[in-house]
Amino acid sequence: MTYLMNLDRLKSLLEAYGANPSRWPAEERDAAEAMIAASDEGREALAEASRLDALLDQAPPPPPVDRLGWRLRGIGPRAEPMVASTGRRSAFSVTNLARAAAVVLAIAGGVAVGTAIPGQRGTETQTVADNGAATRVASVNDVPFGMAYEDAELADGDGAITLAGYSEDSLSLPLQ
Amino acid sequence: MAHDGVLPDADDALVARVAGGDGRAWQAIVDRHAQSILGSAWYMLGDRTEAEDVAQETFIRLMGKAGSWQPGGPKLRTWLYRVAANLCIDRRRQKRTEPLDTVAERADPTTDEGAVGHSIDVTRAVARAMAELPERQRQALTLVHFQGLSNIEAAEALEVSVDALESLLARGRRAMRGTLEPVHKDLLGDGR
Repeated sequence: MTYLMNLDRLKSLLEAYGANPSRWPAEERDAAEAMIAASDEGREALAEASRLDALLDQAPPPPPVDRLGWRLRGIGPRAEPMVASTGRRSAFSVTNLARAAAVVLAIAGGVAVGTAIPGQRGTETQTVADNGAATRVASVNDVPFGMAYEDAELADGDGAITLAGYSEDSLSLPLQ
Repeated sequence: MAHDGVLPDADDALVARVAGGDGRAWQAIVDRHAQSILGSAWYMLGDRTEAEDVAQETFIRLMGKAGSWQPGGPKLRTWLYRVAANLCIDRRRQKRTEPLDTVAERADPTTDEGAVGHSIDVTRAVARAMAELPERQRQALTLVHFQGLSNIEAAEALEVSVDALESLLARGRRAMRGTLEPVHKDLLGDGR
């Protein structure tokens, strides 16, 4: 929406975005700054917004990302690009989905379904077909925390994720 | 605007590489966006562990989305914020989280110094006021004031119009001002 810049609009901007012009809508920034330069009342409103900004800036800072880093690394694909013998969707290997799903399981309360298969490290045996469902999941040895899973359904606020027998649609997000 | 300088198409390219199994691309995405997503969850939830869980789940969802990611669609950054915001709402609905003010008291390394009590009081008051804000107002304030998103980006992330975003921001700031009025007067000399 296009606004005519006047004192009322300037006050609305300041009330919404605060005193820092970098937070103002780009298309109104110049006009707002000109209004401030020309108006005592505008400068008073700016000063008031600035004081609130100063208080807000003393909110507790976010924690560093360090502790989260290793968890996120465990979600993604391996460091080196995989040989994509099955095409572009090779990242949707059961292995990667298994990793992600296992962490979801851990978050959801550690619900492990299935039985861990002891023995040698498993290998990925199947990827998700473009149009079909995978019929077999990768070895549990590829899953962080040693979690085993088969035929697990994870519900969340936006829908459900089905692991075994899943289709790509079942893994899609409600966004985008 | 306080954008991190990552071009949207660069993010699209990274997501495509992730879809191809490129771990370095994944790490690049994490390096670029994890702190911001963690920060937004922190301001919305006020609990480090909860915020980390939300950030992790957000990236898990990205991993699940990478193969069907549409270049030229929503910016990755906006999409991540949107997912995180929805997850935060879900979590707050599921259980009450520890308010930011108590977290601030525990986490602040300066709490044993009387000389810094003044700033601690402000920090605690701001955290408490944030925690008391209605959900959507806190989200709007988080994305625009603390995360530096543009009005358009924040509106997209919250799935509201820019006008609605402005309304949320104005009401949120007004509520913060009202709650912080005593602090405002006591610590800043009536604001001057």
